[in-house]
Amino acid sequence: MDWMGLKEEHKLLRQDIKRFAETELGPQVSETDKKGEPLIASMKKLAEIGGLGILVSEEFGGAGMDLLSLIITLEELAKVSPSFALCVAIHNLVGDTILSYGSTELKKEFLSSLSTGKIIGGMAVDTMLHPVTSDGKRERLIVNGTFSDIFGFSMEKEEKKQFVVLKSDKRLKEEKEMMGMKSSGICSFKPNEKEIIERNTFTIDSPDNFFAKMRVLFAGVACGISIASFGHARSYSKERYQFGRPIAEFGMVRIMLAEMASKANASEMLVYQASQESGILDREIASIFAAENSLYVTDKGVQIYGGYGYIKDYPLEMFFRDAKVLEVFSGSVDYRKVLIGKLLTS
Amino acid sequence: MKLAEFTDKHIAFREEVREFARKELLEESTQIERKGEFPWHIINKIKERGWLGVNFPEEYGGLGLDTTSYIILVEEIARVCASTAIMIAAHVSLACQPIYVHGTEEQKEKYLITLARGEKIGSFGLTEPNAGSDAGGTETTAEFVGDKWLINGSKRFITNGTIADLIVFTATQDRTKKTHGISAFIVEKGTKGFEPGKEEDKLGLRGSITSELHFEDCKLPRENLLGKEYEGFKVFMETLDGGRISIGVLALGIAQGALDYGIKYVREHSVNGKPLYKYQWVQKIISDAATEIMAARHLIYHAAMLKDRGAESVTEEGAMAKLFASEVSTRVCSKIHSIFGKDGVTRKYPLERFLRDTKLMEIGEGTSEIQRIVISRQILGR
Repeated sequence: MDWMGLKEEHKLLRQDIKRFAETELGPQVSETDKKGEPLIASMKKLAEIGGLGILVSEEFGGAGMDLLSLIITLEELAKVSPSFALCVAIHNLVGDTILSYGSTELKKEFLSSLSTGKIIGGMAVDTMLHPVTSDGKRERLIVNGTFSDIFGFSMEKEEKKQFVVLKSDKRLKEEKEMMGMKSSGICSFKPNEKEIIERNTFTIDSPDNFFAKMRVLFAGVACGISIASFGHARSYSKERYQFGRPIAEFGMVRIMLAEMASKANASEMLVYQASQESGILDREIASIFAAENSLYVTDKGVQIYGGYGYIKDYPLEMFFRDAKVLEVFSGSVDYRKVLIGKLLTS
Repeated sequence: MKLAEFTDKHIAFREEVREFARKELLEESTQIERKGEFPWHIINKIKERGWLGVNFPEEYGGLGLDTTSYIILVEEIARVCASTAIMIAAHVSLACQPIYVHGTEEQKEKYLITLARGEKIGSFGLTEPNAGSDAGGTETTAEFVGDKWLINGSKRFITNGTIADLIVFTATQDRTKKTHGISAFIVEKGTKGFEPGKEEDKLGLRGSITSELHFEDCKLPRENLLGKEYEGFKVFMETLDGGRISIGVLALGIAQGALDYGIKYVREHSVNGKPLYKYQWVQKIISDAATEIMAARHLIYHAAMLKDRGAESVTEEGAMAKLFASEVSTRVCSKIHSIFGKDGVTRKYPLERFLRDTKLMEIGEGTSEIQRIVISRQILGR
């Protein structure tokens, strides 16, 4: 389904990224997921077609494209490798955060290197639930952490949301064992106030906007997961014969496919729309809708594949795990619903 | 949580299994699944207690307890380690049970006693690459040549496949007859022409074994036929009637295990200075989960107790119990998971394992869709 707001440039971009994902990521995705290896070389290759500085203006070496372009990019990448799409989302968000809130000095130092893929950026994902660990520090999960050159995280300082950019060090090499998104180089990190350099710290004036943007990017990844899972399940249902006919001919399978398609398409439309609106509420609603639907769609995808959905020889097993991790990275859905309810009534 | 119909014996048995699971399994359960190695030392301890033949008469090497006790056993083990629980379930309800019900006296003497004592491990081979939901599509063939059965074909997704000493399996004598051409047989490990194949790399239950089985001109003695010729369909349908309750209770145990961790977590963690359990969004998740789990528990034990009271068939009740419990468990694990935030997706807590494990319960021994067909046939007829 093509959203009417898509411009010619978006359609061309989609074709490019789709080709990249299928040829570059396709052959590697299953093995790297099993081993939990990030696709670092592929990130550098994506930089060659402008995928690492999508929102960054041309003056800083970026592509200067809009949020919808980034979402389309993430969606197409996620259709093949959700882990890789998450890495690209975070990298782009590091650049965008420095561009939107950082000092001129920081922009000059990092933006063009980030946009051209000379350096890779990582960032802490905020789950909105930060149970304090026993040593009183908050443990953060850094996406791209194991291989990024710099990484950022947000923290509260003097009641303001501060964003800190640090050079990566060996403390970040310890990989976190995850159930999904295994090729995203995720590791844990506990910020130490002492080592924070003033120069690399800036205030995020509108933290709600910042988080809403992060979540709408994750929603783009979720849409890619949903659409690809639906596509795989549809193909499988036409090829898999039981009781003398393709299982696609059975009513219960058709119902699942119809639900998957409607949820995947509706999520995509809502996320596209939200990328054009700057309102926080629109973005929150779209992202929660996309996250919940991607869980539903991958779950039913596994179901249609049956036993073959439960093993690593077929793609649904990975999409199912990845969708769950992504949902959590955007914050517990029910907690977010409470916040949306609050926004709706204030 | 109590069930009104539990006897004192059931409650005492449940305590015994619970204690065992806490002492022997709890600490190791995550490692068992992560390493993906079959936990022989645990199984040996379970065997010593006689639980691998819990519900079979003492004369056949069992403990002589009822079906309800067997279901209690699987629930309490699954609550801690589903990989171990599914191994027990496949052994008891899919290997011992059909021999107990359909075996000749000689077969029971020869096979059931060693299985029930846990000296041998059993398995059940029904699914094939092209015969999943549609067991009538069985392609493995059985021909009676000379005085032996000649078996050719392959099975897939067989729980305990590579570790089983003895496997009850199905093969067709006449493919044109579909389900009515199928017969059931027993094959022992080491039989010439029989070889377990590749083990599957799975989403969850990675401490249990799921593998292929291959038969190539495998010759079996005449007496390895289980039940009558062309009645294999009846053998496995009846086996699955009971097997469904096992899968249902596995799902129930996993859901309860997830809820156990959820309750502990929301009591011990705070957000913005307020304990998690004081948030309404958390209360909603916990109360919905507990209610759904209780409803599933009633369906499952109702089916088991009907069986104990000699009900002729528990097809409908078993299918309902499995359908409901497996869907509840996926929902519960996913929701509890979301309370944990990032702690739910890293391996710091076992929650991520519960979610991966439980998804199989909607697929194994008949998908939810097949359960719906079974139930509708019971209600509406064919």
